[in-house]
Amino acid sequence: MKAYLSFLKLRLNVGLQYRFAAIAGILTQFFFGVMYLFIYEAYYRANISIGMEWQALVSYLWLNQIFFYLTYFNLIDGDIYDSIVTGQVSYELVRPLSVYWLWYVKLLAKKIAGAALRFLPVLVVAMLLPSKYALQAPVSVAAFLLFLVTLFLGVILSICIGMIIYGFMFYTTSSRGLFSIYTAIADFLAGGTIPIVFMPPLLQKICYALPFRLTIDLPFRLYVGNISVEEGVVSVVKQVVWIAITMVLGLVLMKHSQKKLVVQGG
Amino acid sequence: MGLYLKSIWMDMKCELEYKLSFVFTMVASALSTLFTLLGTIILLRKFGSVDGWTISEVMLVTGIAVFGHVVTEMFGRGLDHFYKQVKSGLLDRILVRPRSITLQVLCSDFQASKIGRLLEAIVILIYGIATVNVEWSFYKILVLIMMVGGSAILFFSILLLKASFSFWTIEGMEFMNILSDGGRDLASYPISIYQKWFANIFTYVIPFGCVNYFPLLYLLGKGNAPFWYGLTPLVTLLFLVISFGVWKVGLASYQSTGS
Amino acid sequence: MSATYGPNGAGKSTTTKIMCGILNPTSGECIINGKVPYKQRKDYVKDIGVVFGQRSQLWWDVPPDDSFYLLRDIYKIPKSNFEETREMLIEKLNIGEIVNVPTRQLSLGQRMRCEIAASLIHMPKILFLDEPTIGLDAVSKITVRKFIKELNEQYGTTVLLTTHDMQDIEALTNRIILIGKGKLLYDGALTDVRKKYSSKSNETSSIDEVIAKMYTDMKIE
Repeated sequence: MKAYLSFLKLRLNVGLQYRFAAIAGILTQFFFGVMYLFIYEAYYRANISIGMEWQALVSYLWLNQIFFYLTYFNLIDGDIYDSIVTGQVSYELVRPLSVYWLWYVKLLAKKIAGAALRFLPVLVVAMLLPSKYALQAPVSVAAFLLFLVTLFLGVILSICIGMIIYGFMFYTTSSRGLFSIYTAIADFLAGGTIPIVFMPPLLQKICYALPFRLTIDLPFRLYVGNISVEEGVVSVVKQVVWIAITMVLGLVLMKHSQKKLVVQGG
Repeated sequence: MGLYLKSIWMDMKCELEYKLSFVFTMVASALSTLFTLLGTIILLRKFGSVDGWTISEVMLVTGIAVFGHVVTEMFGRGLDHFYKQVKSGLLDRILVRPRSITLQVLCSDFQASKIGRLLEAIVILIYGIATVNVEWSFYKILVLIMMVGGSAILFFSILLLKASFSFWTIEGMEFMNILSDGGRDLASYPISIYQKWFANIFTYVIPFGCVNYFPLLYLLGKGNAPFWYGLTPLVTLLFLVISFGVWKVGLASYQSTGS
Repeated sequence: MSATYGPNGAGKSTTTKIMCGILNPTSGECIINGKVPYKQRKDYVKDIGVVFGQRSQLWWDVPPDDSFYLLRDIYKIPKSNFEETREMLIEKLNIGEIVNVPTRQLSLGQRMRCEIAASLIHMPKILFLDEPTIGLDAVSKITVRKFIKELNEQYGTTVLLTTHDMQDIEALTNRIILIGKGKLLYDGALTDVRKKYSSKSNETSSIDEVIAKMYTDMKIE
């Protein structure tokens, strides 16, 4: 356990070094936040009642930007990717630590470090904006607590799914594209492109049947009160079940694929 | 030109070395646009229109933006990743070869895998053109061509600016993506749907409005748009000249400091 | 054939870059072959070849031979000249068996031989070598050195070598140019340096020791 912790610490420090990149990242986040707000504002001018109130939507969009680094599905990590492609992974396999957990911690640390640097400035600005465009306070204390729990479990879940993709990467030699395909699909089905409530009924059903929405749609809609606290509690159970399933799958796949490791170069 | 075509062939050979990866990358780049588009279509169906613009009109504008963006991504990838070349010293290699520097940078990377997204852009464009309510005339067809061309020139100029900045700093390049990737999403709607100040920036500073708003007004005959609105895409040429100037200044500064 | 040598940060690589036309000097002038490299860049670089030891100029995912053909187009080499040079280089550098293997699969030594071939495919009058043997094994080092020597003797190619490896210098050249703190410190025969600085303590001191001593003497470090 201690070994994993020191890995976590190292990665956090590395992540914190790139401050300039972080500033650029914050500005980018803010820009996209404002742009989407304006686009939705133009849609809402039609005054048609749909699944989400304007203020709730604003908060949903800001939360999506603020926690982008936590919830984004693209878990491509340069080090891990290179170590698979170059065959360096065989050295990691020699170490007395499980590669699965080692990478898991690496990815988690990367997400936390990335988010820790970026979330606060965007959050502050989003709260200070004129109230029509500002991030609102959560609807209730219960909703906020559930938001925190589901957000955290959502991150855990998204890494579990990401690890399955990494497992597949052992089978193909060069597969950055594999991750991009997964990212595009997962982001859409999670409500990252447009909120799921806007989707046609059939698409909504598909989203609800899959685990992806538990990482973005669930926590953010809990926060804005678009999902009730009761439903939120049930969803936490769903999250735990999905985490268990995907983790077991990832572990089995990783174990299996290590045997057929394709070692390149060297 | 011959050299450029040969470089493209070389890059394609490199990409095809990893066949499966090529397919994956192609599908991935097409998918991400597809989902963004799907989102727009869902919203447009739900709301009926956006700020008075119909689905056909938005699709036409989206097609123009995505097309311009993907074409420059395909051919100008070398500019997009130019900061890496500066960092890795590849620029020095380019400087010791007896050919134009700009040409060599463009030759350095060609992205065949973007072909999926290109086809997608063409389909959206065709859908938009076919369904939009315009009485086509020779001049209006010319305006349409200028809109598409102007979009490509604009995105190319933005990449050139991005590349130029890497002569001074190679950090925080993510910021420039606001203009390239962000520009594509932003210009996927007529610029007038945004708040005034925002729309002004993207009309008078970075002239997206000149390829997707003023000429569109003329095409649709909205608000008695005068015929010269159809010529506004030519403003992108001015933007290109300015970007090229910045590029030249950057190159000169690199050669005198060698940072 | 001459070698530039100096401690890290002495300005070797900047000097080389100016001579290659990559950088403009802050002051002073540089004339090579009657041309000013950084002013008549395109015209000048036709006649030079450059090997940056730590960076590849070969296209990574295709065989070196494909790179040669693309370089033919870049330098606009006439077909007959190109074929002739290409065959000569393949034979002399002993790369016949590897020019059709994707570059990424080559070992460092194999790749370096192909790098040198790529830099010479247009038969330049001057060849700049920046750390050409860095990281190479003994056999590759010797092949590379032998070839460079031959090139200089048979084709009269001027070779400017920048290196940290004194063995390179010893094997290749007798003229050494030493720079430090932006100043020319020494330009002359290597054997003279050797005589001057090794006789004091013992006869058999290695070339590295001799140079280190020379540095202390000239107060560079």
